[in-house]
Formats: sequence, structure tokens, C-alpha cells
Amino acid sequence: MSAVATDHDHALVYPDDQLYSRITAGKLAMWLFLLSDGFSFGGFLLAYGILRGSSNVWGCTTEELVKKTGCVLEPALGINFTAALTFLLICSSVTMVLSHASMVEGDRKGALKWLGLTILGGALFLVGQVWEYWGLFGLFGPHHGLLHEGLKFGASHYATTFYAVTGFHGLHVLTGVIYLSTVWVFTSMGKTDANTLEVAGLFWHFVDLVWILVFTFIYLIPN
Amino acid sequence: MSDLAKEEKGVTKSHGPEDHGHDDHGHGGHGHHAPDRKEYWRIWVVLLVLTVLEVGVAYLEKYIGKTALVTCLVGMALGKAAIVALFYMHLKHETKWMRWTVVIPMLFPALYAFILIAEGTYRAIWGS
Repeated sequence: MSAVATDHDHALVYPDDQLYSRITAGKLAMWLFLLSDGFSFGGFLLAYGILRGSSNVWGCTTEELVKKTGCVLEPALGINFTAALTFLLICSSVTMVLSHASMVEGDRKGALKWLGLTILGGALFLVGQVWEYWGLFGLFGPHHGLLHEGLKFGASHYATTFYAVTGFHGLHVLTGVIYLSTVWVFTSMGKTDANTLEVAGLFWHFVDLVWILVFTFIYLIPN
Repeated sequence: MSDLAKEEKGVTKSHGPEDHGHDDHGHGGHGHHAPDRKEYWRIWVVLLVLTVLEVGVAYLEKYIGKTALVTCLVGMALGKAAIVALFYMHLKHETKWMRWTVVIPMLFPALYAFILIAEGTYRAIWGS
């Protein structure tokens, strides 16, 4: 008799733990990683709050402030465009969870379709962030990017924290797109199961969850 | 898909902790709860509505005052984050212990933030 229990698909069957039930090692490991990552974002947002709360001028975005304090004019952050990016991430979260649902139901093709849409959403978010920073060389309108408009890393706490927090989040989106693309390839080869998609989904939803907070603290709360 | 086929795929019907052999077990790990697509789309709508409300509230600074505005925005953001964690990250279906394992550590950054805000407010009112 084998020492390791498996189900009909020869997947590991985890023991029914009294406290954590049948949670898989991969899922628990992902949760622990996300907790540590959550602390990183928590540290960033706390530093942001401390710097913002202790500054006299947060974002020298009007001529009035320039005249009053002598600060260097900086661009204001666009709410509407970033709201569209938020919409994109929320859509990619529902497609991710639908991909997992399809896999649970044994519909691998459906899982691939929804996972592909999730990857597309993440990629579009990254394009949007690049457009916000650099303006994509004048494509998609007259916007030339925040860097071109004078929001320079290191020029002010407003600028530095903006790039530090949104850049760190953007790296997570990039990681997520690469991670999900890898999962997509392995899923198309039949080498994944519902647990693989659930674990990958945990990372992706975390990226969405963090963006919800970043969007509020960085973009929505007025100066 | 028949119930038997679902069982073979590791799908179990979503039921309350009282249906389980232990006190408060959910359905973590390979015992996937049956996905509820309608619920996923309902959550999507709720997240969209809250996002639209957030953006709307952000433009109301002149009318509702900054303290009320920040409270509204942070409240809605925390609500959205909780919804994502509960429904999309399936915390709702995990065991009580798993939920606390996630929630308790995350309370610490919130506690630090509260202390910093309290300290900042104290200095602003009574001086350094």
C-alpha cells in the first residue's frame, strides 16, 4: 500500500487537518508569501502616509502654490485614467476566478480562455502604466507622460513615493503576467489542476486588492 | 456534469461548517467548493459600483469636507479589499483558523497607521 494518498486523478490528497482542513502546501505557502508581501506594501503605504502627513505642500500642482511657497510645479495625477486601469484589474480578477471555476468543473478549454483574458487584462494594465509614466512616445493622444511633465523621481516626496509605490505594484503586475502566462502554457499541455490555478489566482487577486488601496491613497485622497 | 463526475474532479458542494466532520472546517485545498459563477459576477458588479462611487466622492471635496471624504474613501477601499479577499481569494470558504491566520497579521499595519494618525493629530492640536 502506498504511503501517499492520491485521488482518482492521482493528485495528492491532503490530510484533513483539524485547524486548516485540506489546504494544500502550495496554497498555504502562497498565503504566507502574500502576507510577507502585504507587509512590504504596508511599509510603503505607512512611509507614504508619514511623509504626506508631515509635509507642508503635497504635490506642487497649482500656480497658486508655486507663487505662495516657491515650489517647482508638478503635474496632478489623473483620476479618470487610473479609474479605467482599476476597472481593468477588477475585470481581470473576475476572469481569473472564472478560469479557476472552469478548471474545477473539468473544463480545461474554458479555463484557458478565461486565463488568457486575465493575462490580457494584466498586460493592458502595464501598457496603461507605461503610458502614464512615459506617454508611449506620443501615441494615444497628446499625453507625454508624467516624467515629461515634470514629475521626477527624487524631486519631491510626492514624486518619489508615487513612483516607489506604483512602480512596486507594477512589478507585481509584470510578475503576475509572466506567472499566469507560464500557468497558461502548462495548462494547455494538461499539466495543471484546479489547485494550480487557485494558487496563481491568489497572487493575481492580491495584486488587484493592493491596487484598490494604492488607487485610494495615492490618487483619490485629495491634497 | 453529474454529481459523481464532480466528486471525481474533487468538487464538493458548498455547505456550512456544521456539515463537516469538525467544528469549523471550510473547503480549503483539494476539496474545492463548487464555484458559484453568479456570485462572482455579482461581486464584480459590487466592485464596479464601489469604484464609480469612490471616483464620484473624490470630486466632492468642496462639498463634504476632507475628514468625511477621507473616511468615505478609505472605508470603501477597505470594503472592496475585504470583498476581494473573501469571495475571489475564497477566504470565505476557508477554515476559521485560516481566516485568522491571514487577518491577524494584517491588523498590525493598520494598528501602526492608527498610532501614527493619533500621534500626528496630537501634535497638530497640542503642538510638538
